[in-house]
Amino acid sequence: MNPVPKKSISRFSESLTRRRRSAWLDVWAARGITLVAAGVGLATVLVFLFICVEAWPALVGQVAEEPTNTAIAAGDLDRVPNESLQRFLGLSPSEFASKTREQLRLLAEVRAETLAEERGEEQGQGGASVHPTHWRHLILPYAWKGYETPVYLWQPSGAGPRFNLIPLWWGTFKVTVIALVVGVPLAIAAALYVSQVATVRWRVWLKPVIELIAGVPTVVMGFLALGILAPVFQRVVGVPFLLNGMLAGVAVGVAIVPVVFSLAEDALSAVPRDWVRGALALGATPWEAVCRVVLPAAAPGISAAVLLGAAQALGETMIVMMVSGNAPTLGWSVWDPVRTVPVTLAIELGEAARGGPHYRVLFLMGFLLLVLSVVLQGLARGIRTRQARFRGEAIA
Amino acid sequence: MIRRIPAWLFPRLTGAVAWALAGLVLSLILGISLMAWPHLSWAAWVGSENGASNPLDPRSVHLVPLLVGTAARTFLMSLAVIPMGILTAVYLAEYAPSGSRTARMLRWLIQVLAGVPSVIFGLFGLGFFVGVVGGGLDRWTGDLASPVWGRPALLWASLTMALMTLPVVVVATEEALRSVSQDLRVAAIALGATRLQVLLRILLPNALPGMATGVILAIGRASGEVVPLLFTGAAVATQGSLALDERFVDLAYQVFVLSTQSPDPQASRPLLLASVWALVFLSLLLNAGAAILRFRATPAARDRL
Repeated sequence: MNPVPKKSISRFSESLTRRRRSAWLDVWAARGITLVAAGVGLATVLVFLFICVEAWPALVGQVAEEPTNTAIAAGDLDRVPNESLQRFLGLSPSEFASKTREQLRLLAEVRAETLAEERGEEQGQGGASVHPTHWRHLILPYAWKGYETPVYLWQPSGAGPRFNLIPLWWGTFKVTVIALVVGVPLAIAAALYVSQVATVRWRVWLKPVIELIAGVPTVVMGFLALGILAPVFQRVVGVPFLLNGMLAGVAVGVAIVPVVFSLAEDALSAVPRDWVRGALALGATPWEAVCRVVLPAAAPGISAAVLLGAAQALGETMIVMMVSGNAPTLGWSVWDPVRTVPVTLAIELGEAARGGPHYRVLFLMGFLLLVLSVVLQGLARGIRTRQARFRGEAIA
Repeated sequence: MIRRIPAWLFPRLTGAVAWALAGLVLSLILGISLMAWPHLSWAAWVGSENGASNPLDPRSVHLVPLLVGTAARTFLMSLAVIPMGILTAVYLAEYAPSGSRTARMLRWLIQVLAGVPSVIFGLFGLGFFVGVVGGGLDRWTGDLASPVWGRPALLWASLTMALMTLPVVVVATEEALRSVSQDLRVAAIALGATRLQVLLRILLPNALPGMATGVILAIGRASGEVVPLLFTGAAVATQGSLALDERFVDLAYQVFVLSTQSPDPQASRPLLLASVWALVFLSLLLNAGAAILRFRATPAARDRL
């Protein structure tokens, strides 16, 4: 069967369209479809652009802190616009609307006082006033008021917010690494069995059933980790905290198994059977055949699978939120509670005032998370595409 | 050194892992069913009394309203995502000039979108749909003190979910369109069919199973996902409604709330188990349906196995 090249068909049908006067419907359909596709493309760009724009002030270290930081004197209440007053008091529009003028005056006085106190504290330390959203304070430790030594502090609410990102990224890193250490060996072992050992009869069932793990909602995974895994850990290991990073890591590890398994199995199945048979015929043990022949041959596909698994573990929110304890800690122990970046976004975004420093820092973290997972996915896809070109296949 | 490891260990070890993983899924289904079975009475579904409406009292919350909430948001999402996804895929597979840079760019964008963590969609939904679009609508109608659209609501949650599941639909549909035999197109064009006729009478009917697989997978993914809903409109128990501009109740969100924030875990346990059961079965049914459909639809898939 000799397929007609696609290009010539579409050119042919285009010429048909041009010739027929009755085909105006065709023309409009084509225009409509192109328009919708363009709209979808724009919407996709909008997602990335929006996150970037909202994170921009924090990215360049110019979060507008003036609205909350400049005191509005109680006597000036009637002269300032309502919006800036509302922001100064840290109220939501509906709360603001429900307050009387007198209440607002009282609130403004209290707010101005606390603000003056904060100012004095911070200036007493370093001379100039401290901007907690500057990169210096987002990354480096700092001896805040009340601390003897410089500390990494994530403390977004309260009078003087501190936005150090390090504890959150450290927690994310810990959970991701544990998840990979748990999930990848399981997934690859299962993929080896399905691709190399299992007979066709069983393979037909095993592969879809293992992939069905991906169909279990993450909130159910979290529920099971909370209800079953946590008490088991508690009893067996005797951990100091019921909810900890290890628990979250193991649960996320199970959650990434289907992704890694599915792609690794594809890569392993693509290794010609004859190579394995040849190795075995030359006297290799199964282990040698796997370690020296099969795994090296499938290495690009497997590394792509691991990268995708890492991207999924990095962005996993629900499971981690339910079982990690959600305390921003910096210790080395895997049995400490941790707080990860996506979880912080999920918990705190609802409370952050729109356009305020906290909101900006959260979007900054979202932006970094987005970039990181896009890069991981891009690497994985790059490897797969190169592999496909190498084999002379077209990738869908 | 590798030689020292006994050969018989290889199939046993890997087999144990593979079967354990498969067993995990099956025991999960079985275990949840057994745990939830005593609590799946008629009253758990619809409820016998109607007076109490305390959202934190598990006796006044029932499965059917929760399922209706989930169905409403997935239905609205489908209304948005099915036409958008299918038309985009039609453009990519049929209408884009072959080798065009815009088409390649669009495909790349959609692939990237597929890898974005769900919490990022939550950020976008809250910031853009609720803040920019909803806030803009409110400013336009001029009532800022009591916002109607500028708050988390069913409409915004559904649109956020639609954006999240868009890649699933586009990729599946494009693949299905591409797998329609080239001969069919040639024959149709030779018989004088216009481009639109080829699309409507030949391509779409032939690609239908593949497209349906994509849509079912999208619905399956959306119905179990909670994170974007956290800030775009899910509400606790009885506080939701089905209006476009109101918060709504949701099965998956209910599972999250009950298992982490329940004021009385013992009392809410029956409802929690019943909700988990319903959620697991909903997702598994949708996923299994998609798998079977794909298996039936493509002879190639059968041959590969």
